[in-house]
Amino acid sequence: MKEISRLIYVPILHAQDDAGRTAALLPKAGTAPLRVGRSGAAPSPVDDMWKGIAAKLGELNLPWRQTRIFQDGTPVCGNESALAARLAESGCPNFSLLLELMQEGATLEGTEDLDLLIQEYDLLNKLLMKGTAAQRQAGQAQYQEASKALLTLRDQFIFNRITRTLQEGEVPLVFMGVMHRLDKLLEKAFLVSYVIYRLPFRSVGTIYNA
Amino acid sequence: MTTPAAKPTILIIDDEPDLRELIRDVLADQGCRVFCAANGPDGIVLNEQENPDVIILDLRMPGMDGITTLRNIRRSDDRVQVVILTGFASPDTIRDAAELQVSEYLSKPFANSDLVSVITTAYESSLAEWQE
Repeated sequence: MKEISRLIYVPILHAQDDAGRTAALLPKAGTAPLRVGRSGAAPSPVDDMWKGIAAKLGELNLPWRQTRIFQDGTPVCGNESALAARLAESGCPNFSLLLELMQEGATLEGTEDLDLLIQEYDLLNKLLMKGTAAQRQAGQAQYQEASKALLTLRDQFIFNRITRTLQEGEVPLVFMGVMHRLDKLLEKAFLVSYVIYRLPFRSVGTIYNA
Repeated sequence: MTTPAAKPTILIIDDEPDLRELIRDVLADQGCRVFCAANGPDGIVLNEQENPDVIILDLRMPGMDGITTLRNIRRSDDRVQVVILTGFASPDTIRDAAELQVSEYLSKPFANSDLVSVITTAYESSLAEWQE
């Protein structure tokens, strides 16, 4: 009987600053990049969330040299490590943690289809570029519907990416936004352990986690 | 519904008596008014009676679970800040919690300082909403 591999799954929240930083590094598709919200560090509940995740991952004693990381929003582009380093350097706590894990020996794998990712950022950008708060609110339902359909395609791509790139004996470590339903696909193929500390929904707002 | 009192009012809905008392003591020491319910239906009634600023809600309870309890509360109260505590966190309950506009989702075990920090953030959100 084939042994079921374990997989570590970390549901995460995206802060507004993260969306801005990531979008700014993606290839442009005819629209302006998202405006980065606050210019300084991420709000403290978000920092605390990442500190808690780091502590919980540390308790797992994973074999870092046999750990392959899959990260929400990281396209398959051949420059994944450089992208992570730039985002960490810009102060993104998510990628700062990834960089630390990579320094321990973990491998960051390209996770997402670039075209789908650009479509997602375009959708979000269109919503954010709407002039007034009322216009944005009116457009949110439309955005969420389109984004949900895209999310299904993204999740299937990510699932295929995990199963095709994982090497014998490796532990997959997945950082994924809370509204993805990738867990539903993964639970059919892996023994999934969830790492959850705190999720400060109110502090980050819902738009980036819809 | 009245505006929040100067002293934060917290409602704990949790079936575990030891944890309920521990959280009550921690928050009472911080100067909060604390009410407790041992199950979902009692929590729904207490929310209507005491109009808390923040609800601390356990997800896994016998009878009515935390998500169903929150769905019932949200029918008449979309303002109260809700902090979910759970020892059985899963993406499904996280998605449910997000749709029901929770303030925070905190997994057990947690340090007392974590709880106070989370409740403080939720209470500040409550005040901010009333000032809007």
